[in-house]
Amino acid sequence: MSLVYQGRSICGGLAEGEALVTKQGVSFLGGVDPETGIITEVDHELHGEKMAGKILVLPSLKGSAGGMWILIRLAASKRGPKAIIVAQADTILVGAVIIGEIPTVDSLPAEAFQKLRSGDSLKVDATKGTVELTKKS
Amino acid sequence: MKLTDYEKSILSGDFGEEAKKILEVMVKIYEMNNAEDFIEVKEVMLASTQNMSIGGEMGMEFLTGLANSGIRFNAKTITDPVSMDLEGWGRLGIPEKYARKQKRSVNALIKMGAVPTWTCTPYLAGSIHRYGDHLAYVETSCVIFANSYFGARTNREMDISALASAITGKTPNYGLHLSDRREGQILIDIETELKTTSDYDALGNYVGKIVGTKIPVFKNMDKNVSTQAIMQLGAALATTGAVALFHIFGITPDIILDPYKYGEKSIAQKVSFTGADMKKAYQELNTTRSTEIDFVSIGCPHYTIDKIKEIASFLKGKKVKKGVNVWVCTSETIRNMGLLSGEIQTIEKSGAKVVVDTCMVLAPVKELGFHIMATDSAKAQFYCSGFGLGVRFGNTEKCLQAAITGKWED
Repeated sequence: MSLVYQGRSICGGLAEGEALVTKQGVSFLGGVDPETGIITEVDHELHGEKMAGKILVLPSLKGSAGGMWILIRLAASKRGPKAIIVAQADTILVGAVIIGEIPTVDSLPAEAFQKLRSGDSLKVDATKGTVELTKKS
Repeated sequence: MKLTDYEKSILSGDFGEEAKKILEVMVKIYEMNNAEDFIEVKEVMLASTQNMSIGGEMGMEFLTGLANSGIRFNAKTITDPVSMDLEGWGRLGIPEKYARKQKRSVNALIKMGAVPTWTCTPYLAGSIHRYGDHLAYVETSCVIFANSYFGARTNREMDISALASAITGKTPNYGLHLSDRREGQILIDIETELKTTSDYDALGNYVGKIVGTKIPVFKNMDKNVSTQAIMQLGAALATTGAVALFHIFGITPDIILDPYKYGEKSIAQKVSFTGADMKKAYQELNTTRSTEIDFVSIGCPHYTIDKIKEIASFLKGKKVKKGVNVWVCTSETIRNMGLLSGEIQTIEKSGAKVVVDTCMVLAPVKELGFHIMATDSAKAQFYCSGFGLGVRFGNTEKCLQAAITGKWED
């Protein structure tokens, strides 16, 4: 049985894939390699992980507003996340995902963030704002 | 949400993809924040898009596309520094190919009607605001300065929302545009004497880590504090914290006008800043043990003329050590003033370079081959450590000593 969570659409689009989940904020300027999309922040729980082709699940962005362009560059070179699920979108993320055309949903029920694990299979309909958990890892 | 016919036309794609997306971002931010209306802005400040080192080729293509679509700015729009000295890039070691690309995005902004300030201290170059004026600023040290020092009102914008304000002349009315969202939340009692401007950097660095997104209120600050020191404090606070506004009892306008509302009503936490805290902040700002300095970089935020005078008087008759690169960063406006008074010539005669339009945070300092940097700015320390440089942090005089000897004295 699959679970469907209802959130809010930040940038429309469809995506299916594997979740990459973190409980820590991500700083795209200085914390992510702009060429490879690998998380380089030394103390980060996803340090060394690649976000390409994954659905990134995170609480928020952190750090400089310039990080917006790193995310847009990653999206253009297909080295960024396929879709983003964020607890609370801020203006920097809104700018990045609309310019970079990355399907993005926020404001899912708190339960979703407790339940989702890296490796889960997800189906995101960011236009409707829904996230479907199709297979647990 | 009330949109004009012009804005609706942009949203329907009449001016191309770039402008359409920019306005979609504005609409989304309006909705997300439950704004009730739009307000007119007196000035807009753009930052990272035009920087080769941040926006890169994406930012450049985006701005060029926007400029070619026929879009022109409706609000007065000023510009943060770029990633090189626009005239003197060659002597900083910037390759020509890089410089050509950087100039394309600069030209796109000028074509759309931007005022080419290329500085993070535009208030030293004419961007003076009245209490209560609404702005849309990106540069974090400017956001905090305009909100706190002038009592003007701006949220921490990012380039796309600021471009939307530049195009439409307005911003969604939410956050720091509203008086009730500007009340101080955490009281910082200063229990130690702050002497040099870098002591204010240390204070900002320390407090930024504690407050996060809360609004700090400073108590017991010296009434004769210099504007340069307040600039340093704000830049440092906005670096380690997501802080866009602070109040200082007896000094900044919101709290002078209503000490209860801004300094008491919503205070939920009290913190002291002692001599021991200051010492700890200085220790944490030194991220290398190396004493061999190859890069001295000061002027973050871009220096005032007072600071230029101080540096000229120190360097007069002295020589920078061979192998040490020294950047004194400021705006074109301040440099012109210093050229007329002869201070820039004095600084340059020592072998130091007075650098404009850019700084150590935005120029590609790692690619230029610098390893160990000395600076008097906590903001510069934070970003340059992130780029992989070892950093020594101390007061301006100590940095200048290192320029002469090539050594950091502990």
